[in-house]
Amino acid sequence: MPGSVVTVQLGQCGNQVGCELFDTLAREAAASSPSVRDEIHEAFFRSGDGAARPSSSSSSSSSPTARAVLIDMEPKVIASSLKRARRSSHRWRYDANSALAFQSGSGNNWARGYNTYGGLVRDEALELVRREAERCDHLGGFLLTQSLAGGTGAGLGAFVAEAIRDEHRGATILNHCVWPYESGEVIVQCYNTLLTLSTLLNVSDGVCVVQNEQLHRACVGALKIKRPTFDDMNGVAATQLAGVLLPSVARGVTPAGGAGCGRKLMLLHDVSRGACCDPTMRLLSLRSVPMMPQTSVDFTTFAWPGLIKRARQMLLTGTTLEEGLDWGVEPGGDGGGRVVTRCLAAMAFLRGKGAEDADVGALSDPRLFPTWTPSPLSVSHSGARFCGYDASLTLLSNCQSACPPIGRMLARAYQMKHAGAYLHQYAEHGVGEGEFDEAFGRVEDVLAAYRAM
Amino acid sequence: MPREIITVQVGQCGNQIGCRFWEMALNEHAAYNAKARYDEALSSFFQNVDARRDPPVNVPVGDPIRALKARAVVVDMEEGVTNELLTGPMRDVFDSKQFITGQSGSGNNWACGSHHYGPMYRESLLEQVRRPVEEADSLQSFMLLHSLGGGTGSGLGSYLLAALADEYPDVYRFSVSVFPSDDDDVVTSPYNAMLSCAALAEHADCVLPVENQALMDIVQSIEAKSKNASPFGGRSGGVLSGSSLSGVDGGDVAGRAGHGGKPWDGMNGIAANLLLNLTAGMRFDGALNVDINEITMNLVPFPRLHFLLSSMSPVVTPADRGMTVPAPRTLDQIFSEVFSTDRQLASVDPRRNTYMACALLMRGAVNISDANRNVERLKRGLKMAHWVSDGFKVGLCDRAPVNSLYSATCLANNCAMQKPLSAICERFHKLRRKKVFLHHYTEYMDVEDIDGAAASIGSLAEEYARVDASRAPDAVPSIAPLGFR
Repeated sequence: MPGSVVTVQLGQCGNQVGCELFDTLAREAAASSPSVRDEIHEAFFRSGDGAARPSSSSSSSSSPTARAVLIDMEPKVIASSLKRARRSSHRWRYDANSALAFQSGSGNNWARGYNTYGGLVRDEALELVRREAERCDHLGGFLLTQSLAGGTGAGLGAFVAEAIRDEHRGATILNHCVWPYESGEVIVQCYNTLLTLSTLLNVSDGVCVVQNEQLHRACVGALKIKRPTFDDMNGVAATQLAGVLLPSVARGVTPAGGAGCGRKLMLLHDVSRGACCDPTMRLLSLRSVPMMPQTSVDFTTFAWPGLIKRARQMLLTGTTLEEGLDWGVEPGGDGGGRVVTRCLAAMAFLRGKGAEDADVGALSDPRLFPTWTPSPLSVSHSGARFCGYDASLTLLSNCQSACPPIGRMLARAYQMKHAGAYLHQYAEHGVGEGEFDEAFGRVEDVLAAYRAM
Repeated sequence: MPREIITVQVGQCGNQIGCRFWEMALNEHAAYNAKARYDEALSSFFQNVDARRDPPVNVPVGDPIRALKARAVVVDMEEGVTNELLTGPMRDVFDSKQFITGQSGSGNNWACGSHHYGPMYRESLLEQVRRPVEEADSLQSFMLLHSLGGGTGSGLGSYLLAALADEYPDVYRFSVSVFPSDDDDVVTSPYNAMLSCAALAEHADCVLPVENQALMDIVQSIEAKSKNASPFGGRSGGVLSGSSLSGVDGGDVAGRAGHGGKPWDGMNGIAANLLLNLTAGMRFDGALNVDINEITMNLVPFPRLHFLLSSMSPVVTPADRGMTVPAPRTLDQIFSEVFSTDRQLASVDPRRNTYMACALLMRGAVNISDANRNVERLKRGLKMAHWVSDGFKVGLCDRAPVNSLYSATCLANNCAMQKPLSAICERFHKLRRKKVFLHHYTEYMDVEDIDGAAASIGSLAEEYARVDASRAPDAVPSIAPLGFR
């Protein structure tokens, strides 16, 4: 039993990524064998004829309904998510009753989203989440999609994450957070990111950070899209996430196998157990190989050793991009002045022909991990093809690669705070000097833990 | 579900801009609303009423359009312009119940408008505002349209702004304020501009200053570029002369064609266009919505520094009557143009001063890659405050202005704002030193209050100058981690 995941989509970004994720899952389900399809459906969708809504139009009631709760302070984005799902060619939909929209945006103000709207939304949001959770035979955890920098996804999102943690103490919570472009989207993004991270690192089991900049470059470099739109970038993010979430079977690294080897991966519990083994270190990164335009798939040969070697080098150099890999970086030594990313734990998801027997020795190299890590690498595999690729690998790692952007964010936030800029807008909604200092301290602690690795 | 904006147009100038605005708003929605349904986009500015009933009932979103009524409050102390509204082409979107008019005007005296008419009309003003507020489901902001030079728009406008701040503290107060030019026809305009500026600094959340001179320059440069233009800004004279609306400035200046040849209609159109572009992000869908409250959040780092310089490209919409359309341009061109001096709606050159924050509101076929590429390109030529390295806020809205491919609107919180503010101060002090006209004002208010307002504007200009001159400190205090646990 793989466990069912309730996805909570928060804010504009979170709703767009969530919508893209369900579309990817539905697409993969449609392309899979019936047994895998059932597994995907059980994990992420429920059958459409929900008793709660007898009045729903009968034509669409047979299509699977996403196990999702949609929350935004503006109605426009939710409306377009619902519409997009209805029109999807992969036959799935959202339950309009699981959507919660309000009439005023949080206006990029984290404090307003967290303090002012949080309390207003709490009961309704928790009720929707509970209803969705009760419809799961076996609740495997909550996946929260949100942006780090906005007001609704970030501020209200952090509040909702805390509320879910309060209400469902034992459940696994995984956050998928989009790090905005370093310039252009929100001017107060360093404050908002700081406050979101400091809250989520406290309540969530794993905070998966995905940078828009990197998604953008993946679109341009690997997918050959000249002017990527947000939809393109969300597509990449959804593919990476689906690579982790689709059904797979755990296997031991050593030939002898370990406990739990050969059993179906339990979402999301096994994910958090595999990747987040230290309570202070919960920052996760995602990497996916290969990535290419669909038109190139037919002309590509897929080989496991090459994929694994590339994934290892991406991990070492701390990049999430396949292109422009620095092959000179070696584990162990100081890398000749180059930064070598250390990794606390990693999970590899192998999908495609021969995934079962592929040799992952290169990834389990002990020099990649600190000696004290309890379970450095967990591997799981599935024979089903992913994205039409004969072989593909998704790597979920708890490593230092999230540190550089966080360091830059902190530096900017310190500067801005020193100048006293924008502080009055946060103070108006109950986030004062003290709250800022606390957040700074908490994030600095986490950063120090990663740097000491 | 609507998210509404209530427009408050005060004085002659405010009403004339307002009138052009409503016309252009209808025009824009007509172009994007093929089914004639009352949709969410429309509901921001208009309510849909079934006028067959008495009192008229509101028709909900999604139903066919019955009769659109502007969510507006119309205030003037003279009847001229408001009567023109009631008989002009826009008469159907207004209701005489929305109007507050006096008989005698404010005599170009801020103090008269603010301290005499203000308290006198307070109850009816607030009653007039209360009605559209109660009809709104989720009111986003008040949008004040007025000029600073005259008496009614500046004085009564200031009074009303303070009253709104008092009664509705949670609703954002935006103001599109027409700053008088140096050669203003109103002799008391230095007093009026200074006093209303002080009120704006105090009670508004965001002020978008628009200068007569800058608008005039834009209109004239467009006209000069077009070959078959007449000196009055209309290619077809019939369109312009048929219009009953003219005059951009407050006071008693009758801006009829023939008065110095000032192309009022085009100038009002530009100000109205700014409002449409500003609110496009909340009315229509887009990949990156920018709500009206996001503008204050991102662009106002310090509470009093909330004067935003605006610029647009293209500056007029092709659908705007009486205006010659500038040649179409490429996407990169419009990005560059919003930073150039001749597209500013105030006569300043922001590139010479420090930017604290900058919003680029794009409409039409623009995606995030285009925006980022251009921000990256243009950023190099701009001076940003040392504490903000990424001071850009980008908005993407799917709907371009009618008949164009795309448009850019730039709102900048820039230290160049110190210039118009100090100019206002200087012009005031010139008169104040000689006590010219002072007795007109002391008739209604204390001289200490006048001087206090001047001091407040002076310190505001200094605050801008201080930010402009500030340099990055050598070290910024940070919080040390507790260490590895």
